[in-house]
Amino acid sequence: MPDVAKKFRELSLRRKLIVITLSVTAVSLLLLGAGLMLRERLEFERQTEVRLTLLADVIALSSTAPLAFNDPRSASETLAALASDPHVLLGVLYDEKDRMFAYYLQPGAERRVPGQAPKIAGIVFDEGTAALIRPVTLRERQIGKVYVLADSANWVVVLWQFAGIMGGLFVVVLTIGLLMSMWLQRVVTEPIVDLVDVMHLVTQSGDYSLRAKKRADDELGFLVGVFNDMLEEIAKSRAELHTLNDELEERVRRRTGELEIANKELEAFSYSVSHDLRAPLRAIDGFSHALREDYGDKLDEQGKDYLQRVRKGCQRMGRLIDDMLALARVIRYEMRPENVDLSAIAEGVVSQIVQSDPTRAVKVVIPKGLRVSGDPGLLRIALENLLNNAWKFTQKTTAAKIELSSFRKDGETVFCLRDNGAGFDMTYVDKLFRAFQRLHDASAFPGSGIGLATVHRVIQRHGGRIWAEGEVDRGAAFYFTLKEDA
Amino acid sequence: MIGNKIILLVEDSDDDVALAQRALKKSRILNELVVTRDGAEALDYLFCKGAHAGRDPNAVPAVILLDLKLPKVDGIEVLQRLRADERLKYVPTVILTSSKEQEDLVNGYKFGANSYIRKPVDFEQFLQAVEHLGLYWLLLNEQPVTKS
Repeated sequence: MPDVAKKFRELSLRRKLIVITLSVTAVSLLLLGAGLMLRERLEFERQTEVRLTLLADVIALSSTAPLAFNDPRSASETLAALASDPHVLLGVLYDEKDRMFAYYLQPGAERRVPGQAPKIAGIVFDEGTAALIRPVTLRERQIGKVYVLADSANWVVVLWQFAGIMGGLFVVVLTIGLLMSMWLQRVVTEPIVDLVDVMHLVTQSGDYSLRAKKRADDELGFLVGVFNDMLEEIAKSRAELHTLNDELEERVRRRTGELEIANKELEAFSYSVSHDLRAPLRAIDGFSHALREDYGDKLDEQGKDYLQRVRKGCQRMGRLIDDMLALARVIRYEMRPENVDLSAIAEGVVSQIVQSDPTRAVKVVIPKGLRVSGDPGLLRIALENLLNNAWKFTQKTTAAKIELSSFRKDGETVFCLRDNGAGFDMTYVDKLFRAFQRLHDASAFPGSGIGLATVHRVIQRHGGRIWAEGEVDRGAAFYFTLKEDA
Repeated sequence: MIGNKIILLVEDSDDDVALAQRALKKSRILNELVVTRDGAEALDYLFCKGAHAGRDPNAVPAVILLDLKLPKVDGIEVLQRLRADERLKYVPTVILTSSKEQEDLVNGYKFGANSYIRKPVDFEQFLQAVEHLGLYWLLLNEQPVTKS
């Protein structure tokens, strides 16, 4: 049954309407047929009763004399008149004491003749037969009974006739119903099919100027109207969206232009910083050097110390300028993301650091095969800064250790660079990634305060996040993520 | 060879000229040093024009130390003109600048610079670079013989 229901649900609206119409018609016809048949049966029973009663009463009337004079022979003759009705199978006359007095049995009918009068009241229909008992009275005294048994074979004839008529009617009505429903369902389905067609067209072509045809002022007409209004609304908002989009694009173009100019200015600025700011520094350093070498013998120890300090200052400022330029370069650098072996970069950076500072023994752990998608140049700058920091801040630590690791958390890969060096106070953690902010004094750990700002920028440009954990004298850990499809 | 060839320094900063002179002296590079203060003067010298009109055109410098950021005509243009000239195209030219810009570096090599030295703030490093320079370009590097 669920199968039928499912199949029905899958039918098109047109078919559904036809099926509904035909089902309702068929059910109505069946109920009507059943009602008519019941009425036919009752009518048949009534007619049979009238006929048999009449027959029995006639026999009863003719049987008073034979009963009264105890003449079974003439009684039998009277009963023989029953042969005129071919449906009567048996007729029995009983005397006052319900004993069989005389009978008629249709020739060829195999029926038992009851010796005692059956105890029945009125007409009894049973297994294709109808039985009836009528009293035989003489001067208002019952002197016997007439029992008549007839077949109801003519009921079958009536039934077949009826079934034939009903069957014919069924076919005719259903055919007409089918034709009519096929014709009438159009009134309902056509506007809907039309609507669906227009919907298809609109979704396929994106042409919102199309309209569905309104056929009548009923609910479907209303639906079509609403649908058309909706199309108009969509067309209007699309047009607005289009205009807005154009404006936005124009604005983006303008802003991009402005940004490009700003970028050019920044570029020019960093170029002159690089070139012009360094030139005087070079002079100061160079001539301090010359002074020290060429006139060193004319200076006392303090004079030489001062000169040394001048040169140190120059070199620090030189580094500061370099770091600032590196930060500026990271900001405007054009990213070229590719599949990058982070482990290899980290190892390269570490071997460079070890080369420049070979006296220190630091245990560096870098797992193999950390691969990310990103710009190799920028990622190298970030790792250089982080590893240099770790190297620098472990310089006063015995058994110094630097470890790079990665783990999965909340569906992203987190990288962690941990050292057991000087660490930092978590109170100031939010200052860590800002340019020119330092958490250590320059004499203990020299630096420009730009390195972590640079790292921050690199990670930002990769759509990732960076954060740190630390404890004074217990080390620091820097965590970062990179957008996986950067 | 080291004793008789000219080194041409194209540099606008007095300080840098003095420092370069001192670095060359310290590195015992005793070649004659000709200093031009801008790109236009450098071209005049190289092509024997203007103030240098009377110069012997066959006295080609052994090495040219070329700053990039120069008044009038910049270093890259000097380099381009140099490389376009039959007589001067093989003169070793070392770009000498404080700029660390990628673009300068690429342009320098693109237009035929032989080497690139970034002038460091630390004079010691500069000294080392100049020493290497002298060793390589003046002593070891064999130039093709120019027909002139």
